[in-house]
Amino acid sequence: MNTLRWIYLATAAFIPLALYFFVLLNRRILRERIGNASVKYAMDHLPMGIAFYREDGLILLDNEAMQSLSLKLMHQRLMNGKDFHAFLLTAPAGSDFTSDGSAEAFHVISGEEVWMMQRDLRTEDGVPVVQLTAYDISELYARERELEGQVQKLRDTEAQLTQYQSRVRERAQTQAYLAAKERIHDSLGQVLLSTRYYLTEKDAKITQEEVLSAWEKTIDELDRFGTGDTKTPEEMSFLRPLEQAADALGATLNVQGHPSTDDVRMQKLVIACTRVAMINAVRHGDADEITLSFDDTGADAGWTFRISNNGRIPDVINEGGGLKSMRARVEKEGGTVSYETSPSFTVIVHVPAGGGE
Amino acid sequence: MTHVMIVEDQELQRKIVKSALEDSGRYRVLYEVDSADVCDIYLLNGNVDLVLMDIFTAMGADGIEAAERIKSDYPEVKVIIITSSPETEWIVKAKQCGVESFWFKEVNADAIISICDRTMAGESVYP
Repeated sequence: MNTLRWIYLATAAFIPLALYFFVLLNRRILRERIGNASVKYAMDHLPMGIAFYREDGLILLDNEAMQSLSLKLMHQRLMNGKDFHAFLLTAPAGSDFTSDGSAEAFHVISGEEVWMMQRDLRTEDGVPVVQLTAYDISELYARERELEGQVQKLRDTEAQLTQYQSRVRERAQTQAYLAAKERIHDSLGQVLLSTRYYLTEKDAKITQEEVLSAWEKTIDELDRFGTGDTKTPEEMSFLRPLEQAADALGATLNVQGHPSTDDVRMQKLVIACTRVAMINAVRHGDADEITLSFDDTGADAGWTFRISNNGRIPDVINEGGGLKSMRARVEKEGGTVSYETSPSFTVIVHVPAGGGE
Repeated sequence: MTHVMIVEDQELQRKIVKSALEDSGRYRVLYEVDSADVCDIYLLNGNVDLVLMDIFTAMGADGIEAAERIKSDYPEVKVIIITSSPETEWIVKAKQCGVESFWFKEVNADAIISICDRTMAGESVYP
């Protein structure tokens, strides 16, 4: 009896094990041997649609993806490769898709789905075989459209910016013209007042020569204005007012390097920055020597100038009203302001070429 | 004695105003500056009581902008804007900056002295 029980137990254990190993072996055999089934299996699991057909359209091999495409677009299963290709290429009236391209490579667009169709002619054992492949590029196509849209937006923005830039330039020219007109008006007014003073005052403190000289300057300014020159006439270096101001304080302004520009906007920026630096140096640092130096970096690199002094170096740099407004003015021109505290307190201003334009 | 700074780029005008002020015996012109861009540097000496500021000065420097800086940093210094071109917007801007008086230029010495006297007495004189 005991023996019989053991036999039953062994048999009961053996049968599932045998089945298990049989299935495993079968699958291994299936994997390692290529047959029709395995080829079809592999084809159906390809990411793209693919079909092979003879030149007359007879299907030799296709996959599920291509069949689905045929059902979707032609509303029938794939029966003839040549007809299917022609149908897709021509997109007959009434079909719910469009196509573009050549017979060998074209796109099929149906709603938001896009396929890239490719037709290649092969020769297998001397027999011509057509391979038709369908790649789903819907996502790529959508991204391309999105990108095209963004590029177009950028182009539109660029056009608007160009237009805006042109209007800004026009406005700046108009403003310069108006400013020049106001200056001329002011000059004329002043010279007329001076002339009247000379002619009516018994004890006039000015001479005829001075009055005539003033008229000459005003007429010269009118002449230049008439030729479109809206710049103010400067007989002296633009730094001279700063030198004179320093002198009035009992201080010295040393200028190093050559400010190589006749850009009035840059000249005024230098004056404004030096004024602030000078006032701070004298007021807070007891300085009596201010040095304004220009870096010789060439016009293309922009402007860099430094303002240092021989006064006390601050422990902490607080950007009060003067330094703050100076920074705002420099940044408006597209420039930067930085500071050094060794060996002396120095303000460094850099404006790139074309800054503020 | 009231110490004055004249900010004016026209030499003749500076001369006329200076002579009118100094002939009165009550004013002394300490500084004659032709650019409003640097005029506030002179105030560091702390000896200016009154500034006569033209609107259009050398290199296109704006007298009203300079006046605004002066009233901000040196509120005790009185400022009179002087101009030969009457524009309402400048009068408005000058008032907004806290400028004491605004004067359309005349070549009459009495008129110059009068506006200075009235301003130094605490009056605000506007057209």
